[in-house]
Amino acid sequence: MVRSRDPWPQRILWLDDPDAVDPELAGGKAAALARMAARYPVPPAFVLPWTVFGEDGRLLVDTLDEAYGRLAEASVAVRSSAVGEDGRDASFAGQHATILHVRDRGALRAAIDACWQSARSEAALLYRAHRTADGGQMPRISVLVQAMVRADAAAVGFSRAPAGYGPEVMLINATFGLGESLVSGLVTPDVFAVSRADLSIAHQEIAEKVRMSVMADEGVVELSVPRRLQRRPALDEGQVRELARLMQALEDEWAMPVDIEACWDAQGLHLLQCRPITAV
Amino acid sequence: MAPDSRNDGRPPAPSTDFPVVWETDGDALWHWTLDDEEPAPYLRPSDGWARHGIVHAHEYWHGPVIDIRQARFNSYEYSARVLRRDPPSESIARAGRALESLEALIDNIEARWDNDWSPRIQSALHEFESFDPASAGDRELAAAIERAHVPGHVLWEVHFELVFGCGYIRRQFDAYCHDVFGADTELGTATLTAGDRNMSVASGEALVALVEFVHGKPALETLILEESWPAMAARLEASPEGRALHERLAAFIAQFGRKLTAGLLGPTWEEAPELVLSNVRALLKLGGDFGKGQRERVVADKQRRLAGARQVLAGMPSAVRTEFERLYRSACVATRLMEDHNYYIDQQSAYFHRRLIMEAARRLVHQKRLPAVADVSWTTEGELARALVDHDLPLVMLVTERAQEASAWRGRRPPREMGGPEPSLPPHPLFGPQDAPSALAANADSGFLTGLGASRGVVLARVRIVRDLAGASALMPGEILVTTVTSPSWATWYPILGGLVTETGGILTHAAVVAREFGIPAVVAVRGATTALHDGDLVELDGRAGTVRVVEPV
Repeated sequence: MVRSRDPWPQRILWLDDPDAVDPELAGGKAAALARMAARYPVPPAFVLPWTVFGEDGRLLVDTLDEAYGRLAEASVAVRSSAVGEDGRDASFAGQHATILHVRDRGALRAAIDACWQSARSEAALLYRAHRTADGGQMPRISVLVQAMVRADAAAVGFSRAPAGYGPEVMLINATFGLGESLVSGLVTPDVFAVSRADLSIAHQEIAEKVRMSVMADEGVVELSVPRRLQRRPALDEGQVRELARLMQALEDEWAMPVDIEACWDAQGLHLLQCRPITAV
Repeated sequence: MAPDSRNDGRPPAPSTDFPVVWETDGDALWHWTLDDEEPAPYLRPSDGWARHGIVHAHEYWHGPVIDIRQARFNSYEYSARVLRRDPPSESIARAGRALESLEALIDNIEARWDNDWSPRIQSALHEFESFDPASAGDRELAAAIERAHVPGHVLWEVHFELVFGCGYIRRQFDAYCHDVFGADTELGTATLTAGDRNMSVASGEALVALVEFVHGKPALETLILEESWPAMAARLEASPEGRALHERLAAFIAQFGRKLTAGLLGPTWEEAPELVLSNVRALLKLGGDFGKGQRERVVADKQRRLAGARQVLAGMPSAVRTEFERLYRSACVATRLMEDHNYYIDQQSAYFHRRLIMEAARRLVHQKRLPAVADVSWTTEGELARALVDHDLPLVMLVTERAQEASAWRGRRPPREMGGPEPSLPPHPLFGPQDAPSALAANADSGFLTGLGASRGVVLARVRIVRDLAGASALMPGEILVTTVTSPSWATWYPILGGLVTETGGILTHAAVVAREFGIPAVVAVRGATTALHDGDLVELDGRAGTVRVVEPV
């Protein structure tokens, strides 16, 4: 049930804003990131909470350009962050729109609008109707604007492996380039099962990774992975362990199994998303 | 394939004037290919050594060729490759070993040259150099001819180890550029190593340096343009600048003069400096910058292309950039060695081989055992060596017969190929750009497909192949959705699915996560599922084991 708070803050929230950790305001996705931003390598971001949108999706505040300027990133990702999303009952994994590689003010406004609107799309409503008690109620949609990482490799990790792998391992899926091709299922990723006991790789399966998502001038594009690289591991052992350590820390902090999205660029590891595991 | 000898008045088919009598029945079974359009001399510089080198390099790189047979039909020379007869599994294993050793060369090609190829070449050349044919007795010369194949084989073993290895690296780089920059890219070994320094370029530059020395010195220019060798040599000695040029010319010839100009019989640059001077003369007349600007333009073009390539790569994941630079570095070395081995091996081998043979020929002509030096090409090395010590060997008769036979057959149109069918080469990294025989067997029409178990549960239901969202409306409740990849928009359909099969994806991807939430059995990463399965097939899907079994096909 949606908690009431009067009055709701009505301003753009940076991840270090004390209000940003409130999932009822920032939405599940953004609140989780805000919670981790101080101690983990989370890319800089700000949140447009649902309170700054009008009924029709119009922005009620005029501080977007200022926030965008302060973020000072050549490329940003715009993601919806719905209230109730990524809760413990229902993961809206990949549900709402994500618009990647947005590079100017005009495109940013359009992306924010598209994200917000898509949250009410038929697919989203049907999904909610099926899974949550409050039926087809209009979801409260906040929007996250996040610095885009030009990823060399991306991974999804489950601190508790889904059934079939055993409780003693964490599971990592990884691929080349941005995580989009991985999350969307476009590519069959490498699989690393990491022993929870000593973070060693208990098992790995290097897949034939045919496609990769890459940031290009015209946007995020799907390219063929050069044949020579298709069967090479997307991560080295050090990266696998680094991700496993991060999952362990997050799991300790949240006191429950987590599902994370991460990527690497020349600067190292970035944590893009973290949520409790909903079903195993 | 017996040649056809009918003559029905039409223009002769290529083989009608070329009847072949097989020496043995076995010969008729080999697949023979023509080596040369002309009747072949018996003796050619480095000839047998090169064949030995090819067979050796196949052994070295785990290739399929175990011998190259050679035969003369009607004075034309043919060769036939003999392939290893391996069962398919061994053939694949061999290709795998080849791939491993060729891939290892990518990172150590420079060390391979420095520590292995170059020292072996130097020691073989040293063996040739340490024997002076002119001062040797007939017996010593005969022995030297008979054992010349020892250093000769070393040179040509290195030659083909190097050529096969460098060829592999260049193909890998070309295939990589093709993958990264697109099928119609102009980027590749040819464009991105254009103008790089190598011994051929060095020889060209040294020649231009000679021309530049002459240029602007009227007395020398006149001498070069109007006088011929060897009279010119004497006149060069008459002036200080002439002596300086003579010295430079001698230095040029010392470095680059071991070059045959017209097969076994033609002179080398060392023997005929006139040939170098005619090049100098031609460049002098050409004037301008003597072609230097052209090379600078080629290098500038290469730099521009390389910068463009790196700009495209800047947007790619680091693995793609790193592999490009690794292959490019190796391809540059491979290209240089592809050029330089001509200088170190082909030229020197032919030079020393020729030096031995021509010395023997001159002696035999002097002894009136051979009509003319040129007739030496109708002998074999063995005959030549024996003739030096056995004065009764009827050499004149042999060479006359062979030369007559060759001229009788000259002008025919020998078939390019004859004998048995061409044996097919197994897939192997020495040929073609393909990396490896794919280790993954595709999910064939076996009725049993495997993938990754993504969501637990076993379901027996009919299959619905849906390639895109637009086709999803055909789905009936309880059916198993078989598709290539799902996106969030598919969520609408999850509530009615009996099961889910996707061709790509992992167990942490969206489709798998949502399938688990809805409790729908799912198998992801089932290669070829949308083609191996058909609408209406009754299948048993096991979401834990990751299997799909066709129970009742339509």
